[in-house]
Amino acid sequence: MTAAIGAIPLDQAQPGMVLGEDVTSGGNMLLPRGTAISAAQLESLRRREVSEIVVLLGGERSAAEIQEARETARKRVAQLFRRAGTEATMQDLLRTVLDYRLDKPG
Amino acid sequence: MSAITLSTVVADLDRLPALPEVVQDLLDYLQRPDVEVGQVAQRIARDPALAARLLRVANSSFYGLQTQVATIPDALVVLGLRAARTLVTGAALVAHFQTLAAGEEQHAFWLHSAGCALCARVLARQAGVDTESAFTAALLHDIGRLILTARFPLESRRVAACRAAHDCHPIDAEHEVLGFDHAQIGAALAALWKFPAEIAAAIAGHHSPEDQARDSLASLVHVADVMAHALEFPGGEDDLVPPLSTVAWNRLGISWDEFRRLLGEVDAQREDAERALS
Repeated sequence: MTAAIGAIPLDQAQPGMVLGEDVTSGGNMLLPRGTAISAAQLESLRRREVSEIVVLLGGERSAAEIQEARETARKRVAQLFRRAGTEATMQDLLRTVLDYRLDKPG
Repeated sequence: MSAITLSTVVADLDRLPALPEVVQDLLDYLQRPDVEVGQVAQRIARDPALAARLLRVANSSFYGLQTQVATIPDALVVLGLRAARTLVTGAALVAHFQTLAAGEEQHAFWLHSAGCALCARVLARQAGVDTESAFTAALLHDIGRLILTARFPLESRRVAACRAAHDCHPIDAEHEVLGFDHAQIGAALAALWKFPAEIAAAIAGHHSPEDQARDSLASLVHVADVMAHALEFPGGEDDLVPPLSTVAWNRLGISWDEFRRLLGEVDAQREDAERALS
């Protein structure tokens, strides 16, 4: 079955949505079809003044998949910060990195 | 206690393969206050391998150029001489050190260095510091560790075993096993090979930025190092985010919201870092 695709304005795009068509700008391919776009990639498209993108409709990941990805990110950050201690600046860093990772797909 | 001391390692630096004459000549010339594009291009052109590498890196998105360049003078003009100076220094030294030690573990080393360089560039832009010096300083910040691995593999393996046994920060394992660390080795090399002073200070002080001048690149490279580990450059089960110095963080004057945005910016360039090493 082929999933339906549709164009949406960039400011309505959410991290985790899957591209239904390549995103190009001035003849250059920016992101290929099938990419699950991250918050950082969205930001990059905004900077390049891309106004709309084509995404798979109903192609977003299920709530369970998103939950699982968040759990993986949480464990990974805990592993990287296993020697972080309790010092305030390091705790601020840990929180910022965790927020960033939880927001990012995959 | 270790059989080798810091003086053993420093004495051995003289036995490192010398920088190619062309590169040394270029580095000397680039330190002059009155550098000319034509002169620089001529010096680079004397080493075809260096010239080819420079064009390749200048054209890779790793260095963030907007325009494709075909010739060395073009590259110098497009980059600007100041940026070209650090690019030349970085590319020449990285090329040289890659011949010193190869292999799988070195891939992790260079991936971390390249990731750290990307972090340093976005942090420098945000903090209003020269981005190219920050980039090159970060690219070379752990060079002392590479020298230890290449020249003293036995001691280097003992450090790695100690780190694994205690699951501690690598620099703590160096202190435990050797009684000195890679920042000290890097500082000695920077002095011997007359690296630009700001880059030497960053190599020497990236684990102790509090001891360096307020406007030293050491604080920026320290934060970039921490940021690179947080973004999993190199990643893997052993990877550990080093302790972030409050003094260094406050010196940059970047907010946590801005930092979070910069994390995304570097993350989006991850493939550039991997490509730049091939």
